[in-house]
Amino acid sequence: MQPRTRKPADTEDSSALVERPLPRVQDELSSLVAAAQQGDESAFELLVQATYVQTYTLAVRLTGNSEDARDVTQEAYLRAYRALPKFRGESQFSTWMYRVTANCASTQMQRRVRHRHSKLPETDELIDLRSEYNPELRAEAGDLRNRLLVALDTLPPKLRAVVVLRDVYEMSHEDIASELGISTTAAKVRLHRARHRLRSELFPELDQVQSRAV
Amino acid sequence: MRCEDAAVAVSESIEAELPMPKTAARHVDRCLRCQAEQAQYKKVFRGMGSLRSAEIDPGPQMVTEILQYLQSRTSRNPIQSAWDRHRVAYVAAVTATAAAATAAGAIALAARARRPAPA
Repeated sequence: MQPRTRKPADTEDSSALVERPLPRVQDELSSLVAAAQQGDESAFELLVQATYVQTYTLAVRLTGNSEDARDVTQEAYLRAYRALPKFRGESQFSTWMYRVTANCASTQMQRRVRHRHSKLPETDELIDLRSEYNPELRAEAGDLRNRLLVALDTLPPKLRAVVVLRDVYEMSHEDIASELGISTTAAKVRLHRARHRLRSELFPELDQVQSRAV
Repeated sequence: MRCEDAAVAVSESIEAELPMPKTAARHVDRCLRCQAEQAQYKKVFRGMGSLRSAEIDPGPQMVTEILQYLQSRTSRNPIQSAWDRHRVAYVAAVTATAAAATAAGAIALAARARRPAPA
């Protein structure tokens, strides 16, 4: 396994981001997967150690907060553990984990929405923590990536999930649709809306300009 | 073609790194707004791509949390081992009882054999 230099963090801010080349350990992962499928518990533990940062990162991107991301990560590994005997190795393990994580995040966000709906009437004061209403967060987001992270945070979870899975993790439209439990057409529509909103969030000035042809 | 329609073609062509359909391309060539939008979409795509390598580390305790969660939710191992413990205890108890009964029987038989026959 390749040694990693990491900086622990609980929340997603600029200090939490760790630049690292994409892992080149697919062969090692494949042999660990094979061993885990044979019932080697320690091999599965090594798989967790090798992939948990990637899985957690995706979970944060999909859920938008570290608390949900931790739950999603745990649940994703539980599902992976149970489904591992059926994993045929047609895709890379990490890609497969992305799909499992996306599915878990989708379930978690649906649960959150239901929970929020049931709790809304009891809430005395609603505070909108989204960064679009937080000038300080917007001002702090200096470069494009940070602005993008802030913009992603403003997207509804359904749109965010699709655009993250497609544009960051390069999953196919079909896989995204399958894991989120929607049609491929719906996935494409959500993707376009998400991109449009991201662009508008990052470059609001253009939307104020009337369309004009030369 | 309207700008709204061209926008879809713009984002799809950037994503797929393919040329736009001719009607959309003609519109973009003549529309400053769509050209600006195209440039902005490219920046958004570049930014999104860069997020892939920017990982967020939850700290090594996350591994422990995952493994503990697995252990608590995959009842197979704990229950199996609990069942194994019960089964061992049960077999041991049955064996001990059987051994004790055999020994008691043997003692009783031996005692009866040693007893002198009534005159």
